[in-house]
Amino acid sequence: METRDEVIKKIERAVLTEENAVQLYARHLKAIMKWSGLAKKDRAEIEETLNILIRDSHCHAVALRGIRERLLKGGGDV
Amino acid sequence: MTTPLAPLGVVYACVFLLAELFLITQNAGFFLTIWRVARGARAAARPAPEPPALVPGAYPRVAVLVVARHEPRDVLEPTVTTLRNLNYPAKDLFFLDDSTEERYIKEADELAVEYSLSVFRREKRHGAKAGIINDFLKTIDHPYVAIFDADQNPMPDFLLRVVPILEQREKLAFVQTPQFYTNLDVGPVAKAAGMQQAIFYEIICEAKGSNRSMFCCGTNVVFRRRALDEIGGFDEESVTEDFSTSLKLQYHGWDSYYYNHAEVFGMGPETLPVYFKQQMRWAAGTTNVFKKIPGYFVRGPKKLSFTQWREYFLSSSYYFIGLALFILMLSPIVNLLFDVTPFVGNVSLYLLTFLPYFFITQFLFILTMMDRKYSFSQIYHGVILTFLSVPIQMAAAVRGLFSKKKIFAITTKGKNVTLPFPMLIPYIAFMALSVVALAKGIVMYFVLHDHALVMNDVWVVHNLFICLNIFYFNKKIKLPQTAEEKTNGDPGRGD
Repeated sequence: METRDEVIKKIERAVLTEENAVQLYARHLKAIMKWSGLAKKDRAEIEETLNILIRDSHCHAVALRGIRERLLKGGGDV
Repeated sequence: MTTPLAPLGVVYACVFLLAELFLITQNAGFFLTIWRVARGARAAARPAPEPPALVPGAYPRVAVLVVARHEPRDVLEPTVTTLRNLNYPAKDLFFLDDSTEERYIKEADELAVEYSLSVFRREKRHGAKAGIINDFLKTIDHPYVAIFDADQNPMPDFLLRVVPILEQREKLAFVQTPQFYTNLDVGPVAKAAGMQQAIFYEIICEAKGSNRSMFCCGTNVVFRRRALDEIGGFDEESVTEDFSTSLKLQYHGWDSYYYNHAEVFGMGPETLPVYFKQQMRWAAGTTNVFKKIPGYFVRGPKKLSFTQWREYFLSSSYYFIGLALFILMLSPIVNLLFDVTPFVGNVSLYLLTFLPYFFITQFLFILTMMDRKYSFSQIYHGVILTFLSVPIQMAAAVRGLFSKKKIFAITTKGKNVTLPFPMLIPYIAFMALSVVALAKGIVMYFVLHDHALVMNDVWVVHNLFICLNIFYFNKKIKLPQTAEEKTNGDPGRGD
């Protein structure tokens, strides 16, 4: 069993990852794709997939923040 | 150029010959490199081999170090985020902060709390990056140590790919991976620096890796702790501790491996002052190691193979290229203005010998890079910036050879600065001399009808064009806002 504080801390880290990491990897991958030799069409497809990942990540961050709020309002450990 | 050599011409001819010999040696080394890479079944065109998987539950512990000094939060935060995301179960993250300014210390502490990092600081500074790592190593007992610079962002599977290689081969001291700059669109310097990195990591390192002479590049590398302990840790005497430590390790029988897989991304220098600072450190450091190589060779000629000695000789002497290029660039001016002739020969002979050599080496280089999907524009930027680095490389080579004072400056990125006017004076002076030489050459051609004058004029124009690029590279660029600027409502750097 984990204490409420431990879970909240983990959620906060997960929010940070969702907010920063995916965008960061996507930025690097988009830049490096220019040198990949991939066709323009394939690059555009990958870029769109990366954009979907970024959008999904925003949704995950919002959901995680919601769980964090609920945990903060509740009293006991989980 | 058909008159006999004057006494001053003899002196200049010797210097000129040395410069040419140096360039031919380096070009021959590069040709062998390309040959080796091409013969290796075009290895770079294929993905790097998949490393063996580790047995679940038997992951050796890895200390992941990020070393920083006066790095802003904007640079550090992405690195810390990606290090935390490394999906290797037995990792411990450590932030080695060598900052002395209160602002950076405070930012580092805040980051450490937010991302649950252990911060290490030392009481007494010695040996810059090598020193702080050596001090830190005394406090841990992890069998492997991964090292990252403050602006390097590894992909999540970095350790899962690299550690198995070390586990598989006991005599490997370290595994080096490439770094790719991804801020290429920021400006011409970043674009050119990215290109130079690509030449180094995608061609030179690949060949060095296959020659068992790959050296550590200071970041994106995992070391075996036992190997470091055996040679007494990182070399604190050199400003390029990575290079000299690699030589020491291989000299003591350890091996190295280059894993050519795009696993780490980072920021290249964006402005000329930052780029030149980086070049100054690399050039002075490697040239300093060049001084030590004869000593190593005399003490143990059989400790390295012939190929390894050759590779270390070529790498450590590379930065003399500034001196060699300067002598060559100065030649047509010296000839036109002062009638000092570095060699005697006729134009036909020159056209039949030197020009094919020149164009073959240029084409070989350009075709190799284009084969790797780099555009002509990128290659052009990289080459021009190499020429523009001549004064810095010359200064660094002299410093590396003769000065005992070490340059431990760390290349902090993200600041928009340009070269101050005094640093532009050598370029302006060279351009002024070129214009005068060109004018004299044209006038003399109409008087003497000597075709050698045309050749000299062509080279003067070529060199003048290169120098003019200093104004293109030294312009202010638009950088993204830092967190501090956003808070202050500053519109952004470069405006």
